[in-house]
Amino acid sequence: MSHRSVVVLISAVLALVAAACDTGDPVGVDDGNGEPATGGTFVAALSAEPDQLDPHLTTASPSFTINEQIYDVLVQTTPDLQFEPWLATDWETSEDQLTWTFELRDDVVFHNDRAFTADDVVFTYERIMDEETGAANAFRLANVDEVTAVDDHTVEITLTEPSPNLLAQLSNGGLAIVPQESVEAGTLESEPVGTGPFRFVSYTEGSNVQLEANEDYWGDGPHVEGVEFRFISEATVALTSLETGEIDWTNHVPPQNTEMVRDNPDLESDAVPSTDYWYYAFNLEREPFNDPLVREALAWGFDRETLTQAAKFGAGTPNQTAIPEGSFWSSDYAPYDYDPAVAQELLEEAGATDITLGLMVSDEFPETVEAAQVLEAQWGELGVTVNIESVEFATWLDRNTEGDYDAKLLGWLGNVDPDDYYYRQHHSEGPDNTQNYANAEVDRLLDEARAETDEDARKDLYDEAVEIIVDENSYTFLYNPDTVEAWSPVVQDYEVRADGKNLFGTVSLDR
Amino acid sequence: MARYITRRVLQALVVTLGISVLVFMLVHLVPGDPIRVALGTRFDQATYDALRERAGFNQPLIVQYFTWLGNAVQGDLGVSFRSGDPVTSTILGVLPATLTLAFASLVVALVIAIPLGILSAVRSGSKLDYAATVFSQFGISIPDFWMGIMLILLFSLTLGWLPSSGYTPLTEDPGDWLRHLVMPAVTVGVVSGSILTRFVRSSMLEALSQDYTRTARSKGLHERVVVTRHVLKNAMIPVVTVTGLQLATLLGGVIIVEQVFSWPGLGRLALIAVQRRDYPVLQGAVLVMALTFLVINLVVDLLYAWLDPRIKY
Repeated sequence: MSHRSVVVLISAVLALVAAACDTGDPVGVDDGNGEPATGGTFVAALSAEPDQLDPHLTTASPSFTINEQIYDVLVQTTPDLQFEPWLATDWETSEDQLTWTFELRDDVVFHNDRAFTADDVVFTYERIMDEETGAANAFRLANVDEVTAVDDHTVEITLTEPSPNLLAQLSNGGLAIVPQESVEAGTLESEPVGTGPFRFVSYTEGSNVQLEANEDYWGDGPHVEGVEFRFISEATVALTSLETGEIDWTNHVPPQNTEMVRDNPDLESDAVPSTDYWYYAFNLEREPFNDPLVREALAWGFDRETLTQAAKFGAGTPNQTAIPEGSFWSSDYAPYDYDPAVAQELLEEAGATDITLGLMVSDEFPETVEAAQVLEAQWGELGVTVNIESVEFATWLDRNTEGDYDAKLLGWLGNVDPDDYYYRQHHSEGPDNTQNYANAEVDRLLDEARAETDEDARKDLYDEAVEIIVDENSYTFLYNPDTVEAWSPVVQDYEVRADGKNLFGTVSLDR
Repeated sequence: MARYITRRVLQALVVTLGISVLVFMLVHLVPGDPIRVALGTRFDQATYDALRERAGFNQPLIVQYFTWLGNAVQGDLGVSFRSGDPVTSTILGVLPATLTLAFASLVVALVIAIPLGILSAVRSGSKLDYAATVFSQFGISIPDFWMGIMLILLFSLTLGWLPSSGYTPLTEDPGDWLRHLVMPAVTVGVVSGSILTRFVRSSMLEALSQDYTRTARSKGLHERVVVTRHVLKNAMIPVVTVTGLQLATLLGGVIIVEQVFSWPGLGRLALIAVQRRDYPVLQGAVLVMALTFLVINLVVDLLYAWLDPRIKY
């Protein structure tokens, strides 16, 4: 062996030996009383990287998770999807339902040490509503006419029509309150400044985001010194890191790992029914899917239980409507069952016995592929040929908007108000109604429900609308998935939320 | 020689230009654009149209291409559509991680390939040769992502010796840098090394069958001297070429391994850019990959000429 090779070989061996020693476990701070320690850095693993951190412009869920620590919203959703004071302490609506007045906290300070006032709310909402900004969540303020600061701690929002879902919209992370000076200096994106429990420190692209505790936070906490977000795309690696103690928390728990995580005595986890729902829909401009009888037949031709089990391994609840049970707004309308005989009959009645269809799903959401395979198998028994078209998400989105599909299967995430669940997709003018559904009665019901402020009356309207939607199969709803998150036993006081937000302000570490 | 170099450089530029046109067209003609991806499912036609106009996507493709090209030759690769960060600095940002992994993997590969290749050639037909062949087959056939995950499960989960993912810059903590580097480098290096082993072996066998080897042996020299002083240098020449090509490939980023280990390299950057349809980042990354490959190719060819005096350009 040549001299050179020997040197290289020895260096390599030495390197391996050096590497084998000492994994450098983090040292926690303990106050010695047996109480949860204040201190330590909470390490969280996300499955993807943020695209950017401007809360008004971003649409990526990792960005939202990070921003949930840095920024605050005016009102916050509670675990049972009601609303609680956050930056706003109280609110009232005028008689005609067109003016909402919010009282704001007077003890809030931005990370740049400037006091938070009503002007910040005005600036924030105006920025979002301004077309020039190109804010992804501008549609949430579509009914807002004007936002004014009555005084330093009072904001008035006037609407063009009554909007009972205003609180739901304001609670969305895309409407986080930002300081005007950061936006105008152009530094909001590179050096985020908010009012939240954690302050931005750094973002090393490809690697991590570092946050430190905001000592002057107005609310409870923070109880850790800082938060570090890492990006681990492989779920196996994320769960391994959790077990080795390299990370403390992750939301990257694919369905096939939920049981393993649940049964693992060294890990904590929780599965909470989420506000998401998954569905399939036909392109109603294509034959034979424009025939409601055909759609009805297919709705009888598959087993929701099997499909949910295949897609989510038990971490989901089958549902024939969109809103999860447990919500005040949920409907128990469930006319269908798995009955291939009925399905076959209806297909024959419709004169459509030899159907071939393309079912568009995305492998970036593996649960859609699993669900599609169940449909392929079960509809196959009816003589229907299903071609699963698994495409990249970007392609899925494109074909969806162009209406270039026979059938599509995906989900809608993060819905809070019933309007979120139904309007955009089933109203004939709905921006997300790419399946071309149009029913005048549904339109009327949804329009009325949008403006109805009496909750019971509103619920009746949605119940009526959803029955038509389900009967006509504008969408065929499949299930509500659980939100599954896993963390290490050293993490205290963390709860998984139905709205999918991750708030680390209350968390402490007991190493 | 100078003329040769000039000719090669010009060729490289033409090829790079061709690649840039190809990538530009492919990425723009594929369904999905960055705005649609950014807006996701909550898509608003008005917002979409406004943002498209702002990004200049409504201009003819030719205009968009030449705008990009004009800026690129001045060193301005544009800004990321998603983050607004300059592409040049983003790519420079991933270079340390990419370079580290590429060179470390190469070291691992050579440490495996050179001794193993030489020994199996010199002891051709023996059990060692057989074992080496089996090993290199294994290394070539094994999917690298699987091997990466297996290593993580063994060394991070079971033994707790190494961190499971991520990258620490050398300047921050050399010990940690090394610990994070080991598994990705071994994963890539074993595959690369397996390919090189077979090449070293066949190159050595060829050299061993040459006349000058026979001459050296007939002079009565000890076999080890024959190999080290006469055969090795000649056999290594083609190996240099192949190693160079391997390095060039590695510098382009090993996407799959980078994904498994969350290694912030060029491959991962390009993959995310594809998913987001982030045109400027994607074009910049591909440009860098192409140029790197071509430059290394040129360097290897020049090295080849320097090593082998019979070669003149």
